[in-house]
Amino acid sequence: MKQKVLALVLAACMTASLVGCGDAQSTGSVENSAAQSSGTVNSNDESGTQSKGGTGSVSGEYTRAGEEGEIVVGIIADPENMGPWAGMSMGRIEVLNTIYEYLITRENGETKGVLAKDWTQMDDTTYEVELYDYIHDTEGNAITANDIKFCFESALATKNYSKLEVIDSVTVLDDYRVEFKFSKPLAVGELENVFLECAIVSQAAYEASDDQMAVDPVGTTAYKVESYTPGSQLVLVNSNDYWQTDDSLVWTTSKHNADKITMSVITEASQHTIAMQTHTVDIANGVPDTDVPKFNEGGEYADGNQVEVLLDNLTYDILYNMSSDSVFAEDENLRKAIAYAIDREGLNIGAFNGNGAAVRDFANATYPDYNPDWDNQEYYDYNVDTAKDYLVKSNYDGKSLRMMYTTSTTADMIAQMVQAYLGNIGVTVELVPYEQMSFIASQYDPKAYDIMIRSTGSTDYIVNQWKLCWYSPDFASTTGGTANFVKDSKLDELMAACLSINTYGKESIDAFHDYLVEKCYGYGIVEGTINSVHSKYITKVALDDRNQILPGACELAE
Amino acid sequence: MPFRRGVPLFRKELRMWRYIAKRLLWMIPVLLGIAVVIFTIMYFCPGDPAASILGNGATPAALEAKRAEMGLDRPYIVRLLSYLDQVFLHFDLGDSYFTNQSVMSGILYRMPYTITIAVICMLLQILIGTPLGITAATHQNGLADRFCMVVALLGVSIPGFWLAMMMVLLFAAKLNWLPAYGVGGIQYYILPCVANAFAGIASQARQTRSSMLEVIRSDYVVTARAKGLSEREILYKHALPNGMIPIITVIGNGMGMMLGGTVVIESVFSIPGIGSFTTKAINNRDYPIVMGGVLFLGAIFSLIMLVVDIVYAYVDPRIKAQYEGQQKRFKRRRK
Repeated sequence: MKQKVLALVLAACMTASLVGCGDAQSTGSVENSAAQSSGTVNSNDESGTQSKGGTGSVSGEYTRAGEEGEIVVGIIADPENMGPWAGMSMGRIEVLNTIYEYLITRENGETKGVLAKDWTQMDDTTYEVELYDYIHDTEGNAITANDIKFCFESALATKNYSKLEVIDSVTVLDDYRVEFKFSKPLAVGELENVFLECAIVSQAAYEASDDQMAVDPVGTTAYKVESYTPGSQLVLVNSNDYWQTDDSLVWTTSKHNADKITMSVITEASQHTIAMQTHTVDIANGVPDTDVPKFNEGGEYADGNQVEVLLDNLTYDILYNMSSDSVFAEDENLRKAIAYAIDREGLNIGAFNGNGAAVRDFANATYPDYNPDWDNQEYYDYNVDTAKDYLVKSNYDGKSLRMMYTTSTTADMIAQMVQAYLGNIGVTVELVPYEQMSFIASQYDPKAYDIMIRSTGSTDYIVNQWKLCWYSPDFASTTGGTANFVKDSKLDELMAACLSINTYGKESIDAFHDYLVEKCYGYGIVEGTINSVHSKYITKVALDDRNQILPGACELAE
Repeated sequence: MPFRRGVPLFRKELRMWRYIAKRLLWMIPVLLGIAVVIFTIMYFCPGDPAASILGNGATPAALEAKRAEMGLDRPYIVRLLSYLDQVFLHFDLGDSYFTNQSVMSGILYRMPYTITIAVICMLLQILIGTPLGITAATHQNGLADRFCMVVALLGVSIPGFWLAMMMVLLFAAKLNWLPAYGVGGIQYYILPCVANAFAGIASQARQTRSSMLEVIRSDYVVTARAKGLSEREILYKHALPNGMIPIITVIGNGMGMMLGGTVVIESVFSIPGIGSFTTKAINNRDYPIVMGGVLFLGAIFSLIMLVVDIVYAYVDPRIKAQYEGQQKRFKRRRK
């Protein structure tokens, strides 16, 4: 009898805990939609593109995680090696702009010189760069043309930076002038990408370092490393000796509002929520989407905190497998049937609570060369009847189609919704989620998928996002066509025209967009969001072009 | 000269040392096996570290050059032999693909965190689990027994990561008593260690209970009672030492579980130990770190098993005699 009572009590406890979990989730989602629909900042503010945060002033009390003038940031990964040219990783991306400067930066979609005072194209493959003549790093070492040559040559030698492969030679012309010779005429945005790829340090400081600056980097920003506990914490302090004395030339990536920056490595996403809730960090980039509404006005953790929802530069796209054995290869009707069957606005509401954007191109509208006219043009607008008409005309035989994607909360949601939309018109879809590295390894296997959902983005121009899928020379040895096996000479011509500096412009961009819409080899579905959860101590959040937090450029309450 | 059963004592000790040396030598093929298995798994694991380092926009030529530089373009057997040569003949675990830093130095830096957690967990397991088991055994079918077994049942049923998150929510988020993540003073270890040790405490309690129940029914315990010894004496002087062997086994296995458990716990609590180091490397396909981390944990586990076997010998003279006898049998067989 006693055992039965005990079993009953335990069963009741288990049921209660499960019910409790269920309640929490449903409450969360209600808060979610309510809070999100109340409106959030989605645009860039007037002070610079990189400063994407809202401009709201401090309202109500806030709690600081650190000392006055200090900003504590929760980062999702450990930088591990902060050397200027080590292999790229998530942790490095989070800290690089706080430690190092580059020849240039991007601000409001425009290129601005940081260490480079000016640069000039001499001929098709030669560019000359002039440096400021008063640059020094945090140790006081002057940066001259010799250092620039040293940095680019060292970075090239690591083979970690494929964008630098176009460099043929770097020549010192005099103390403050360097000549870059490239192996081919550069495409749109390629010069900027080269300049933005190589962190600049002084040769003297680099050679003085025992570990190639892995744990004690010396850059030219205002910040120098005070302490680093691998895997746990990185502390940077303002050296108060920043080389650029003309404030009008200090761009967002170089701003240094905080006296001290503490970066706490928090690898578990839910711990970012707790860190914000307990005010142990001032800003965190890893709060899970499901927890974000709790930080909104009226939310459970809103006390002293706020949220800004920003549009991401990543676009979720659908690509059809166009290899010769695929059902899509010769079946434009099937491609269009699927395109018309998907409600992109529905995906935005389902996956991003309506804060993202249903896109009307293979890329999103945040690029400076996006044509706003596309917003008013037909782009497979959701229509089940049209979808069914195309399906009837197609050769679809009812076979289940495999849809491959990189698994994440958002991507799972999008994939499940797409599966449901396609089920609505009678197309059966089998979901094939991959973890990221497996996805990368399988994406060029023609037998791996029928439909692929992937997210891509560029930090500069729309054509460079298109390039990631449609520029066939980049995939010659992997697919023999585009990223999804398309072999279409006209598409190749149009893509090449978009990428060439001589033919790049509205006409070539429109031509490519229209042709892609006509052929429907693939199309964009939805643009995601970035949730920036921060303490009210931070009055303006600053992000770089990779949407990473720039702690030094964040504005703090007095 | 001191004698024990007619054999000089130093020769007995020598035999024990020989046994230990033999076990240490056996670790070499064990580690070799681990190295081959983990290398093979990582080799066949989908994912390209070169693509991960160079990012999305990398050209095939750049990828090929990077793969060649990293040695990833060589055949399986060449890479395997080269790795075994590097590890076992040059004692070098290699460098991380991403950071170019020595794997060994990374592991040595992180080892104290992992070992601290594992040792604290072990102590918790022994200091809480064993008394719980003894109490349950001595009060069999009573209220104390039921309470202990419910605790044990919960311990083995609740997943460590779930318990960790619940404890964080209660003690860090709600009550603000303890830090939720990071490293620092002893307070940073409380939540991770309790969460990691809970399952071990439960196993320990269950094993101690069953072991003690078996022993306290033995004839020599009845005899001890008949002689008028107190229950306390019977329990701690006669029953417990004889019931220790299975308990020590659980402790040894528990240490392995604790080391394995740190992989999850370190990630949840952002502790920069070997577990989180290895987990991150798995996601990045940083093969040298993964292989180095697994080998290192394998070596530690083998050493723990050796220590357990030695402790057996000191707890139970019969086992010690067996160890010592192995040497004699071996000599006889050779003759």
